[in-house]
Amino acid sequence: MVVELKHAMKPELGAEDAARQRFVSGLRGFVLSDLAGDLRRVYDERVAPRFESTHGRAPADGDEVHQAMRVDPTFKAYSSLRVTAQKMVWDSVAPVVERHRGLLEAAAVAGDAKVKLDPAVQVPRSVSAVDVHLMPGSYSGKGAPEDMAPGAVYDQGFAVFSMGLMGDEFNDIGRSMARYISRKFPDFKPQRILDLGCTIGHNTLPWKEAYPDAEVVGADVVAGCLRYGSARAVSRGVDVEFRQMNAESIDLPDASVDVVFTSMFLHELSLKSIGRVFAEIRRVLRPGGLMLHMELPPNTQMGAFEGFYLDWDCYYNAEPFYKAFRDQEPRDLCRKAGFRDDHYLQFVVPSVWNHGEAAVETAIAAEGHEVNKATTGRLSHGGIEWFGFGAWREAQS
Amino acid sequence: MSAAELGSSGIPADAPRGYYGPDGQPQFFVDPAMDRFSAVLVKLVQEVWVLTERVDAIERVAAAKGSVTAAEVAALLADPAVSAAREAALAQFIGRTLGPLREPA
Repeated sequence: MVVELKHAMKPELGAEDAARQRFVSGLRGFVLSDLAGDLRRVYDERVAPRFESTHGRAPADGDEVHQAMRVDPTFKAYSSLRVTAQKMVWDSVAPVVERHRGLLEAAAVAGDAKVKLDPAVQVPRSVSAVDVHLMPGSYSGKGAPEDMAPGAVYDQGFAVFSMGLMGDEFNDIGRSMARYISRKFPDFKPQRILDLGCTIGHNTLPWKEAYPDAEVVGADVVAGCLRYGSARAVSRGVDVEFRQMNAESIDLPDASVDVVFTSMFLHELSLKSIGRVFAEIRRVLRPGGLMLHMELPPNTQMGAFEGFYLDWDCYYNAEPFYKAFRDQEPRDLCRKAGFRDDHYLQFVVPSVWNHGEAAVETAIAAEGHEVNKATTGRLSHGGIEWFGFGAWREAQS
Repeated sequence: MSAAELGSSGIPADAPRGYYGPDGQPQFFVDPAMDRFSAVLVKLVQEVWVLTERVDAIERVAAAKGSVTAAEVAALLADPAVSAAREAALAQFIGRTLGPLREPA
């Protein structure tokens, strides 16, 4: 199903737009649920036994599974359709966005008051030189830096891409993470929350809803996404500030933030960049503050097939840093940045949208955070859980 | 960041070259032209679905009133019962047209 946008920039869809989008969303459901299920079955029944008879052992990691799967007709069907469906997501919304440029700029009149742009911020090549997620023009687009169209393509694309599984405002990740933190640590009362790499702020807004007294700031390198995100937030009546900055050089004083959050951000950065970002996060965190990343779960904590399944995106969905990030042990990344090992935290939280708010409390009570499951970090109709990790800044530096 | 570190066209720098065709696009079939034809096939199926929805709209409005206006067709988009029926019909449509891609039960 295609989600209906709930803000002032909701487009008017023609009958053919609606039919095209509905088809793409249904096609993705077919690929990610039906064909993905087949993929696992042929692995167990055909591919893994053949590998074992040749090598005398099971595949050791995702790379070996990948190479063994590539010759299988089900892998070819799944992969070919998934690439096509991904491109069709953007194809199904781009003409709609073009027709609604006037609507976007009208909404920006209110939104721009809450945006602080910095013309000195350069869009890095990891954003501008790659059509991330096969989005033509990536997050920054091919127009002027302030052009809101890429933000609209991203938002409207989510409506098709998410199949209704990421919430009616695509905020399920932010909601699930903020719910987990606020319930797990009820005495923690952050005053300033920073969401780095926020794009259009879809996962920023839930932090304001979880902590209404906090100042919430969404930051990104792309001016147009920030303008779109701010217009979206204003239209929804959520008081969040948007600021253009690079996460490698955060434009905030030392020890001035209580929570630095990212979602689906680190896997779009090189390892060198992640090191610089973590150093900056550590600098701006107050003593007792929290660095929290929602991410894909790491290969070090998953089986060979599950690792292969997630790493597919690195090879075929224009996310070149994805696997290098997933090959890292998250605890090590935090330790290398200077966080104390006993201040590390990691959890798997049920998606609030798909499993309900009470499921988060149940997960907290159970403390069973097994990572290696077919539901962790995957978008499918069979249930969804999100992986989070991070570290507390020690009280005394 | 160097171009080598990034790879070209969003391809990870250490990816086996055999995963991609001469055009730099992912290659899953023996002949990379097959990958292009596969996309054409799926787009064609999409357009058949678009026609299916349009015909469905005409039939519904015509059945109700014996005539069809653009506004009446557009109004169907806002009807939850029509949406639910189309979602169910789409699932059957995809199963029917793309079913041969699935692993036999």
